[in-house]
Amino acid sequence: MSSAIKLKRRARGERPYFFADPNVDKVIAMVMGLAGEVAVMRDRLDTLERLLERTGALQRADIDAFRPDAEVVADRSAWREAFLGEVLRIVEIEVEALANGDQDRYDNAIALVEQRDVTPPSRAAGKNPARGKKVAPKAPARAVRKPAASTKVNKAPASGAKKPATRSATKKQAVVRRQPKPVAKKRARR
Amino acid sequence: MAKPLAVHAQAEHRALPPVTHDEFARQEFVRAFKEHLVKHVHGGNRAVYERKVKPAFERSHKRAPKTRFEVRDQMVHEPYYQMFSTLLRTSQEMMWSSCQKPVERDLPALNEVIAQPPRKAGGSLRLNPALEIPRYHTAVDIHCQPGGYHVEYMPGDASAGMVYDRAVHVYAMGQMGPYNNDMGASIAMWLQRHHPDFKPQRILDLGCSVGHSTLPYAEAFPDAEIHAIDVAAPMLRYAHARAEDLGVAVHYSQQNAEHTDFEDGSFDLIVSHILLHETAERAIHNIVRECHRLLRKGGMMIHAETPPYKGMDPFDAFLLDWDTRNNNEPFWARSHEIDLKTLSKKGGFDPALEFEDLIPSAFQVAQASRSQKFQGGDFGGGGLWFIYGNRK
Ligand SMILES: C[S@@+](CC[C@H](N)C(=O)[O-])C[C@H]1O[C@@H](n2cnc3c(N)ncnc32)[C@H](O)[C@@H]1O
Repeated sequence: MSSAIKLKRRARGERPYFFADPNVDKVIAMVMGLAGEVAVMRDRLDTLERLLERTGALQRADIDAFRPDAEVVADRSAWREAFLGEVLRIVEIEVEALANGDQDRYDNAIALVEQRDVTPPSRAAGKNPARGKKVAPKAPARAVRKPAASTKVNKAPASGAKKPATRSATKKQAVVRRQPKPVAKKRARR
Repeated sequence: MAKPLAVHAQAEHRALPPVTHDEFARQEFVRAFKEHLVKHVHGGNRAVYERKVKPAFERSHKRAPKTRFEVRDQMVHEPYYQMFSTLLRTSQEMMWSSCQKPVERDLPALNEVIAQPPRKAGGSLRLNPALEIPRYHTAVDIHCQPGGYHVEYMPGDASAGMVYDRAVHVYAMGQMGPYNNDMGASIAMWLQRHHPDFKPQRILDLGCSVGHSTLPYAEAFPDAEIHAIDVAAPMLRYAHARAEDLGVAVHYSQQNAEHTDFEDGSFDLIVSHILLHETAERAIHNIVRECHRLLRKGGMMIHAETPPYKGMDPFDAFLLDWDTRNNNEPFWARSHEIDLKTLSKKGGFDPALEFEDLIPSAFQVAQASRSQKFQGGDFGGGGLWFIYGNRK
């Protein structure tokens, strides 16, 4: 169906951004892109209804008069719930992480695997994991300076109280942690 | 609630790429999006300026802003203007994308249609693969059309023309008429009204793109021989197929308007439509000089553009200037500040015979006499075109 030829998508020339944070511009572009596709879908539905009406298969007034029975309501509710679950997944994982006790900083996992020797937790705690010179320079900087980003699993009020002490505390946890999470793997390089 | 503008469908012709249901819906959305910005968002900038920005400036400077730059320096910090700008830019990108999709679907087949004009109107097409595309067209893709006017994806490619033809209709929200020909039609109408005795035998259209503005001259001057040039081959291939299908004889050739291969004094009328602002300082002077060389004594050149900034309120100039930085129109601002009498004079014309005018849109006039429905968008100069020209 589609020809192998792909037209250029980007116009040559620096793209202006208008807000202090260009991500705002980008989010707006996404919203308008979505709005466009909603409009396309709406037109398509409208076409469908009109065609069906023309063939006599449907009266559009019947659609407006349609009252879902209990079963349909239940079906739709279930679908909507699942749908919202997908869309709002990002919000839920935070709470899930809390429930699982999976509150380690990701840096701890890095620190763990980058250690040269497997050392007892008490030794590893609080040490710069980068002392082995093979370690990539970026990792320690991140481990030391960056507080958890807002979506990180461990930025939860529960651990907030102990903040100054957490580094060593969570490091200890990292070492003894039982279940590595697939979530963490996906997040590995951002 | 304002009534929606009357929807003016684009006239079909064989070269125009067919669209699927959803592709059409997507283009319609972009058109509505642009229309909404023009009618409901654009004007808010002035309110923000008048009620907030200007009073603040006056308090701190003890005077009103004098130049469009002073206005700009303040307005770029206004969230309203930022939102307006990002929406407008986004609408432009969505416009191109929505017009590219139907072209991309099966480009080789569409190009085949272009290669074989079905009807013989008597026009011609002369391409020059060796012609160099001017730097001012390769530096950035003008008004954000990816690949610009000239990029070719396969031999005999007219994709840029296919995309452009539909995009102009969306961009102008149908307000240039079903054939996107309002600029040419308006100048032709102006000529017939103001120079009823002027009967050009040979007409040349510079930077014709797909010939939107070229064709109305054939209708207005049925005896004239019509030539049209452009630097971009994809535009010309499409223009030729389009004109042949619409039954209008036009001789298209791929040439740079700065230096053509036509003979001295070989034209009575030379026109261009929104070409000048897409060139460059040196080029604009070359083009006027070339017009002078090509016109016979008594002949006339006419260039349609948006009005110069001269004497314009700094806020209006600021808004008109939006495209310079935000829509890949680098020469827009400067071209609006060139003194046109001087331009004429440098090109060899008698500045006493120079003229500038705001002329009514032919499409608008036709609509108004037909019905009261036409709402007249504020786009494209609110139903008026600015012309600059010179008699030789
Ligand atoms: C905005 S479009 C013109 C639209 C067209 N005149 C109309 O009214 O529909 C500008 C066109 O000018 C062409 N162009 C730019 N510089 C040129 C030059 N120096 N000589 C000839 N064509 C040129 C571009 O390739 C492009 O097709």
